[in-house]
Amino acid sequence: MKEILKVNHLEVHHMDHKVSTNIISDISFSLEKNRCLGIVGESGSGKSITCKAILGLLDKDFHIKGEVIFNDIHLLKADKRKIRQIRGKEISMILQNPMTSFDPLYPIQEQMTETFIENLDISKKEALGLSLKTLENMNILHPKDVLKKYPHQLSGGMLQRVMIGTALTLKPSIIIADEPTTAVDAINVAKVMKEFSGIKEKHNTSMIFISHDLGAVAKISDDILVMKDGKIVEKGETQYVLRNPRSEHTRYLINTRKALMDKFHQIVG
Amino acid sequence: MIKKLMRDKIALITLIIILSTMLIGIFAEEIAPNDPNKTSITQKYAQRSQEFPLGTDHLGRCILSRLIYGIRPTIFLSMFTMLCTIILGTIVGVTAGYTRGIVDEAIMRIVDVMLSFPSQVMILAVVGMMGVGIRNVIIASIAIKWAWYARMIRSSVIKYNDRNYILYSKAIGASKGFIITRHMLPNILSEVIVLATLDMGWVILSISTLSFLGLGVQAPTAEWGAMLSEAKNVITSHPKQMLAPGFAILILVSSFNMLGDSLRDVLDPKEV
Amino acid sequence: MLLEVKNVYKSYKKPFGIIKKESVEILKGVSLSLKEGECLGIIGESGSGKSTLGRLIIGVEKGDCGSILIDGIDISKKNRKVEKEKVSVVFQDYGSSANPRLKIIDIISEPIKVFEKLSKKETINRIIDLLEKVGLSKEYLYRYPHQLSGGQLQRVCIARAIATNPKFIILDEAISSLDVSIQVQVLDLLIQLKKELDISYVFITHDLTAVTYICDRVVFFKEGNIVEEVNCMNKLKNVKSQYAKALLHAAMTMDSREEIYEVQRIS
Repeated sequence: MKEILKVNHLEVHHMDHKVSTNIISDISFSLEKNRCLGIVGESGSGKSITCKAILGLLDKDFHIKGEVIFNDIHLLKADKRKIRQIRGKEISMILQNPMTSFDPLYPIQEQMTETFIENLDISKKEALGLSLKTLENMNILHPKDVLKKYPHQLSGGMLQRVMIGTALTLKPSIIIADEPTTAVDAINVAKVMKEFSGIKEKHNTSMIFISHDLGAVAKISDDILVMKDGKIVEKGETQYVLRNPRSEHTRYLINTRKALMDKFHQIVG
Repeated sequence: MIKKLMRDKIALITLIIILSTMLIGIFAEEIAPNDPNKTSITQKYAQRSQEFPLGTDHLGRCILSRLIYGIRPTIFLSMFTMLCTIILGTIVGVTAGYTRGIVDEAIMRIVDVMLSFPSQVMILAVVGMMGVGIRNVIIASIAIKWAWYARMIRSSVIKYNDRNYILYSKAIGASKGFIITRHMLPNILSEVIVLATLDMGWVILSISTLSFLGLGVQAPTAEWGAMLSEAKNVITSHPKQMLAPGFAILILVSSFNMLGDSLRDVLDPKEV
Repeated sequence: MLLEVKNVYKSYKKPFGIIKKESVEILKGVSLSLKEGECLGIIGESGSGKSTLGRLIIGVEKGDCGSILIDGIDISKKNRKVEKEKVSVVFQDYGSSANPRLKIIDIISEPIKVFEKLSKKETINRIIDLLEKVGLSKEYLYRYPHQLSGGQLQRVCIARAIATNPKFIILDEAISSLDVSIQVQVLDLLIQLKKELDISYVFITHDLTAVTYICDRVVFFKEGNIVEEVNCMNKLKNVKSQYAKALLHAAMTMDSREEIYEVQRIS
């Protein structure tokens, strides 16, 4: 297996008025080609910060140490233009709140075509066709109408699917999804999750899937990282880790999740 | 909070400048070397000396003493103006934001009208109608400024009205006065204080400007703007006369502005 | 009947439009009831009007028509302080549920100040007692909201809600913005409090699994209407309406948790 992204001894400190707080302490992991890495942890465990650090999205108050290697490029040392190129084409990010990921002033169509023109170097007409195809691939009903709508006219689940579709069409080598289901209603979560499972099967893409919900991560990931207080407490193949959790924290996450579901099953049967 | 302010160097320096200026103003009688209004024609435009540390003006009055006495009208009148503006603005703003409906509409239209006048021209007009004098200048400044504050406070009242902790207070039936004093005012005041500190500079300049034009503080009372105005008459022959009051205004106004910026950072509570 | 909602309508005026004010109907004739010692789940998507219903019940907003009765007394009537004492609320967004400028002690003491005249010492003892009930130690008394985690803050909000000894509490998406692991802890706390203090809940949520965890009864809410009512949780799988089925199906397919469950059983 080829490693597409490698993170070595990553450390993040936050500086606030000369007081330095340790947010991420010495974590290492790697993402292999065509696999999905799930990162689970409670809020404040540093899972989102890790990904932002990888992509260089943190501001100057954060001090980052260690190395991040993407296809032999050292991301933390590369110059800004190169990173921006990689961020657009090679690594796509799907954010937590779909409502704030779109500009409310423009219809979906404009925002999708703009992204495609910018990153794929194609004409406006081609971009429009591509947008339509993207939505069709996502099994969105009436794609032509959806394209003309403004973000506030669509539900959170729908917007998140548009986001995923857009990210996929750019054919990135890595997709990073940061809590993509948290702001989506339960009834739509299933649909969004289905799209994510589809990614693995249909596309040649590696993925990092971040969530506080062990259930969602378990469903989709091949490998899993359990984080707590800026440290990795457990990592390994998902099925193996869930079967033989070694750390106390992983066991706790599994048991709370299980408690919720047991009752559900008891009732629904 | 005060600790945090102390850690900010700019805030600390500006605060020291402002506080010591105020202290000097309060103890002007003790500190000033000479009587600010004592003229002596023989010693006009005197150079710096033991007796007159900053020299004398066109009537032979001690410039340093006049500067020190000038602190009183400059800072304290400005503060008084600001205080009245805030009180008026808060009352109107909270009333409008909390009651909403027709009262709100009526108040906001009046505010809109007030805001559509160019402020300096409006002050000139008010002073023109009511007559020259510092009292009228203050009234005019308040009349111009309150609408700004009313509008700002109203919008933050509306913003906070939707916060869950206020909804909760309403849900358990807490009285309006309780909600306003306990939840609204502390939040709003911190925003207002920042704006007011920034605006202090504006008010000082405004009063000085009007005194410079001869509409505010009247001679022979020492006031920085009025001193500038007197110095202006001899700008070609004795340009140095402008320096002392000019710098005094510059330092004080920029101190207030910088303090306002620092306060904004300090007073902002960490939202979860 | 502890709470009766009878045929309530509510519409909002659209903020745009100066000449012709359009209005949007949020609630279209909702009726439901809550018995003593019961937990009623209200489930629906965002925008279905379930939170608006919650706001009407706690009396922050008024309905256009219909009536809401608490203990048989209409809450739109004046002098309803007695009724206010019987109902309390916990919101979804714990971040804005507590005034960031106040310490925990001041946050919890607010309802005590409104309803009871207690001396300072009695109030503090009462608050310590309340904090213990929700599983927090008294060292939190003098902390500020931003020094607490989401789960801890939501516990503080629950402590504040039970401070007045209410008969029932509206839980408006009270656990939705918490981590799954914390959700379970808070749900357990709610169940425990229900037993100890003999209170009822109206549990507003979009998550069916949480409903099955805590509720005795559930109503499905869609576009301002109740589309289905399930009076016995064991009959949940027999829901008839399209919408309820879709929700149930969504919860089932999200059952990768089932995988975990099975994985656990195998090993």
